[in-house]
Amino acid sequence: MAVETQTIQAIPVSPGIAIGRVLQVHAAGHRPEARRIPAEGVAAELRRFDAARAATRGQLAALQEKLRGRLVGEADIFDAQLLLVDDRMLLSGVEHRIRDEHYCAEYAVYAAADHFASVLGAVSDEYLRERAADLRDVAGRLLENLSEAEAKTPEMDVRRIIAAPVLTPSETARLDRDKVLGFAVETGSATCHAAILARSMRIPAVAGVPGAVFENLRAEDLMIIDGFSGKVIINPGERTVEAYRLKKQATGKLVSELERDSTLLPETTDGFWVELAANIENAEAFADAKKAGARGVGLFRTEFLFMKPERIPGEEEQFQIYKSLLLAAGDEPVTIRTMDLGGDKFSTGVHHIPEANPFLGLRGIRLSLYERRDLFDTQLRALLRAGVYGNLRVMIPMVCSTLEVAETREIIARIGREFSEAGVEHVANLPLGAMIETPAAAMIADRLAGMVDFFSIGTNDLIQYTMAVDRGNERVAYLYRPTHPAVLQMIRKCVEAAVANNIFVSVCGQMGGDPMLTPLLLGLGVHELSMSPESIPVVRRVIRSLSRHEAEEAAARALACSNAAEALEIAEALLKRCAPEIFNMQQ
Amino acid sequence: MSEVVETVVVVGSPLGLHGRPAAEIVRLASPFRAELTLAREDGSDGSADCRSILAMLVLAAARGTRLILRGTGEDAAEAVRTVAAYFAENFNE
Repeated sequence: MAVETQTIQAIPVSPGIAIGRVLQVHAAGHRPEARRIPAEGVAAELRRFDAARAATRGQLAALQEKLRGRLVGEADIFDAQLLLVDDRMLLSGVEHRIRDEHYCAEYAVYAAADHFASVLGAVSDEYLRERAADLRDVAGRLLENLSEAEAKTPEMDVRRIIAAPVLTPSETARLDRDKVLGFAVETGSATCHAAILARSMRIPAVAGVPGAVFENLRAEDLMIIDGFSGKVIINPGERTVEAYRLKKQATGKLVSELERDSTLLPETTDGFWVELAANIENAEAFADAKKAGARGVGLFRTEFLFMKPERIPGEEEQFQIYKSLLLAAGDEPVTIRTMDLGGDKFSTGVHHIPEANPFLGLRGIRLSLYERRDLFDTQLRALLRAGVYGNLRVMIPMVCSTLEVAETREIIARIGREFSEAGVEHVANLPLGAMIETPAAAMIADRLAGMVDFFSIGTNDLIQYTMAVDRGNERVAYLYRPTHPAVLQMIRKCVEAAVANNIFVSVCGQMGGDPMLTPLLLGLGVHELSMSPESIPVVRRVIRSLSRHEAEEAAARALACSNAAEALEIAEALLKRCAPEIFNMQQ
Repeated sequence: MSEVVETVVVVGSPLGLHGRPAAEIVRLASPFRAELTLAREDGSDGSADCRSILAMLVLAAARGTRLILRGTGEDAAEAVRTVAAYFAENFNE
């Protein structure tokens, strides 16, 4: 019986090509049988539960230890889970079901956890909803420890591609890493747990695979995942497999070449230099950035500092974090973005009030100036003090008015005066940049350019606001087009205003790291491209493969296009001609 | 003879009654023998055992929420005083 080949377009989140059989990891929380036990069996059942708890506690503590000092936050997840294992209300819920209702331990654990997780999951508070997921993860682990068989590590006879709706830290911590060829997940993005792990393991991964695909997968299905283009092919035919084997070889070679070239200058064939910097959100990623040949950091996201309400770091702790980042960077520039919260980066405790429309609500610099000026003040104080240890630049997000820049400058000046009076060492003349992410900011770029030291274009939000599109809404996502003339014209406006005022323009949104669009950005006159470290080698190759002259010529034609598709064709044609190996990688 | 001691506490921390203070309340309650509970002043959402982080989280008490802290048992008065003081300090945040 012929098996149907399926080709799906997903999001590439870790480069590489994997061809192999699938291993499905099912969502945790499969429901155990509601088996009843005889009255005499209650004591023994309670003992089983205690033993499972002890085993779970031990495993979580071991994971905590193993993961401490690795990826930021990985160990903390298990801190929270440890607290849950011994929670009184959970315990009494389980014990009641065993002792009074005579259910077996498995069902008692499942039912109690499910009850509380549902209550937590229904709350509007994001932090609490996360605890619901933790609770289910803990319950899953308790259930495994209760089962007679060995802890159910997925059968890894041969190397396989792991396919899952989501991969929790518990699950990935349990996989036999030597046997994993790659990941294909439904939920997630470039910053989801599986993606970060895949990149550090240097294996391909894709995210955003439609859920229906997982439902129809069978154990022996063959899969190809292309971590460059984001394509997923299930049950490919022989010719397709062969083609991908060739692509795998070619790209493998190419990837090593690109890595070897990481010390080459990001210079066009006619001698123009574009800065390549990295977007990072924790100090660990800095090492990857250096390896890829980044010159400095174009975007250091600070939201992680504010995401755990129980532990918002004060001035001293933030100072230490910024200081160590600056010291690690030496004299290379580090651009730190002040807290950018609200919208989809909701953090309990910093910003409680639910909004009907968070994307158009109190976020970014607005939140910092008008609701949590206390936190903004603390962050700026820490930054000003840390600035003496390196080459610091600070930028403020979601600017839409000159007043926001003026007020920020006033606050910085005031803090500077206070520090001077108190004899606290701090940097004078801190370079302050505005993120251009709103159409308003782009349209008044000429006025803003006179007030700041640089622009950084946040293309993700700029495109969404300009096109009036939520890129997460499948029904309209097709309208999210970086090459739409409106977007290109806004970028051009920013560059013109910047050049007239002698300041530079950086692009730190996803567009900056897309090699297909590099020629256009080059041609529009952008000075710096900042991106996820793994994209740097590819973009460097593109820059070195073309001349600014031909990029400018292509950009001029793109600006005159009447739609996004036409403009994209111009970019693709240029890339195909100048750097065909990179063009092919994206297919 | 069981004494029942009650007092009203207000959640003053801007972060509400979240994980860290909930864990701290469990710790503060542990040396006492009295039963300690927190309940919303308006009576909604039942009452939360102060020895269960989950129970307190489920209260979802944001800043400004008024709660009734109730202690039952021998050392109820001291237990209530200790936990009430922690609320008065806004969970040290």
